[in-house]
Amino acid sequence: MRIILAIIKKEWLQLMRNRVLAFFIFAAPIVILAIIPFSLEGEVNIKAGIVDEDESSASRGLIAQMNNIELFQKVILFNSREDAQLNLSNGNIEMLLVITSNFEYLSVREQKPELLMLLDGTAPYRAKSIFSVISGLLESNEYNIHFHKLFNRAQSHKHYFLLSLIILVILLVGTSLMTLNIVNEKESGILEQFNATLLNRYLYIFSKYLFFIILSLFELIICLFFCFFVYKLTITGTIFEVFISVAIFMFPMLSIGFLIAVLSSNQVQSVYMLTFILLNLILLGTMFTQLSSMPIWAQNLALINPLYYILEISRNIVFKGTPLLKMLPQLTVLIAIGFVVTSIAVLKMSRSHSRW
Amino acid sequence: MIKRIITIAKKEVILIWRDKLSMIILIALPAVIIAILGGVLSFGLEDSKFYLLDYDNSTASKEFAQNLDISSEFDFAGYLSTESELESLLKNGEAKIAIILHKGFEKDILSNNSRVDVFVDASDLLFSLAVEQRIKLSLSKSNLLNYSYEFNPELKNEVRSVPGLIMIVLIIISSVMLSLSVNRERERGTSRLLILTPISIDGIIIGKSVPYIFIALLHSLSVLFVSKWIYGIELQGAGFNYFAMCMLFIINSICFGLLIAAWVKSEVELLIGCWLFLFIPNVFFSSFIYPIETMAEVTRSIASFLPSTLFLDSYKNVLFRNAQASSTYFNFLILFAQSVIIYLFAKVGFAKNFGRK
Repeated sequence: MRIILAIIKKEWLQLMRNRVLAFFIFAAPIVILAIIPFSLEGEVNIKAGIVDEDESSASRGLIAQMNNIELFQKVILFNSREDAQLNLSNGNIEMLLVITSNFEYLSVREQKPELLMLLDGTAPYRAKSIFSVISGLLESNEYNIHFHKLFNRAQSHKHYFLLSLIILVILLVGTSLMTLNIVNEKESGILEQFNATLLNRYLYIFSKYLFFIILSLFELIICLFFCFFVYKLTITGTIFEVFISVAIFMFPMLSIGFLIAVLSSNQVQSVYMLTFILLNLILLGTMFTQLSSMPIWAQNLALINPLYYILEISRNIVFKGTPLLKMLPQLTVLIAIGFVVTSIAVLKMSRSHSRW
Repeated sequence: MIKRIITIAKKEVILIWRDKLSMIILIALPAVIIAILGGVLSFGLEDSKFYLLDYDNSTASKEFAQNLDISSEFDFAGYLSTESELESLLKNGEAKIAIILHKGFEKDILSNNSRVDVFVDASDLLFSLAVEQRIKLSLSKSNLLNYSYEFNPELKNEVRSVPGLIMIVLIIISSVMLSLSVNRERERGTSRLLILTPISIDGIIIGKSVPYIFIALLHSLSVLFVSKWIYGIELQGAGFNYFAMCMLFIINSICFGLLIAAWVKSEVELLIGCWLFLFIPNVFFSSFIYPIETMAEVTRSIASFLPSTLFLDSYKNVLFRNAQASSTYFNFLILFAQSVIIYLFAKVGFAKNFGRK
């Protein structure tokens, strides 16, 4: 116990004496959380262009109707189709509505008037959204659909994003610190000096894990407090559940960092490997995509991705208030991943350091 | 001067070549990320599962479910029997969408008044908005609009994900990897030896960045082949403009990476600094994840001057939309101006501490 406390004290002093690093760990996340989520408003803000080939009262009525709706950031009227299409290909407008010349003629006779709509497909998801918004304006629906939006009392776009960002920051800071800390000790020969102390390798690993988990929780508190005061992010479950799940999540992540540290012979190698692995974990997690829209192999791969589990767990706790006991399977998997990776790393380590 | 730069570049190549593990990652990272992850990041709703609680149990209600099931966005997952089951499924995160059809659904359809209740997990409000739009869209009957998606008729997701991924790759290779090598030089003390040679700091930095620029350019060219042969994306004009765009963006990221390298001491700081100040803003704040148009007015202008936004915008202009040169060159100009300014700042930092440990 005394030994563990001594190591934790050493790590803390080492960390705090480096001013730049202390800034990066405690202040930088706040800077990021202050700027980026602030911009998220979720307004539709369509940049639209209209070509009126009919020039009748009916078409003018339609244009006036469109100008009145708040969905549009701007509505530009073009004289010719070519001119408008040029603007579409320059990215000045995202959609183009062409009112063809027999619009009034047909709509007066209660036939179906034709409207031509061109959308910029280079942003596929947005193009589809714009299309459904516009067609919702122009067309009627035979059902009477009521939408119930659950688990978001504030109706805020930011909260979901904030949570992902917090997890990402904690993950990045904790794992990189752990990896480079161990590699640095290996490289500068401090690890060999530890050989001459009472410390054995299990105590060494355990105290490192403990220290960086405590550090991540510390960081989590800072981020959550900031988000609570600035963005009114409230937690539906209890804050202890969040702490416990993040602490458990850090175990596999730190063990991955530890494995990288054991495998790499210098800091450059470890940075390369860490970047490679973190990037894959982040992009294959459900941070940007819904799990159901991924291909099957990627869905299966997510099952061994710690980031996938923590995102699910933390979203459930923060937004829905699901009790932690309901998510016992996910937590067990996280711990299992941690144990497997740690034992591989320990085996590798004992081969490279004869006494440890 | 040129000869000296070449010497430094040669030294850097040997350094990369001898570290086999790093070299494999430098070469494999982009291939893995673009070729494999391009299809994974779809952002949209595909096969989102919905559960149905059908009180009516009529042909009309079955038809309703079928209509939704046919569309590529939704996937019928199963019937529910009670409302409490629906609630617990949503709460445990097993279901994201659940629909209730009430008794008399078939009868009311004639009066256009049949009530449908849709419960959506709105913790991600954007997701729930999209669900709302798509459900309305796939249920609407009349087809007044005659529409087409320009530049990407099949609405392939790769058109969005591949440019974003190549952006991430270029940022990582040209900023993290290069500044790491500069930093290494300083930490080991070899930078002091380099300063004793007749070459200037500019020369050292240019020489060191040459190999990384080459690797990054190689990857940006390979992306064209991946987009064309694996994802089958129609490419418009991949000529000089594409090359110039990649080159400018690489130089821009190099300058940002150097700026961070100039002001930190150790590798940890550099790594965390690069991830927090380069990766996160460029990925989350550019038009890659959320469209610029949906952002708040105040920050929209900041976001639109971010290197990644400029890069993604010109990527679309050059490769997909075949835009007029003037709109693309404006982006190029900003990228270039940013690089110069950031480089000057980085140099101030280097002048102070390049030779120091």
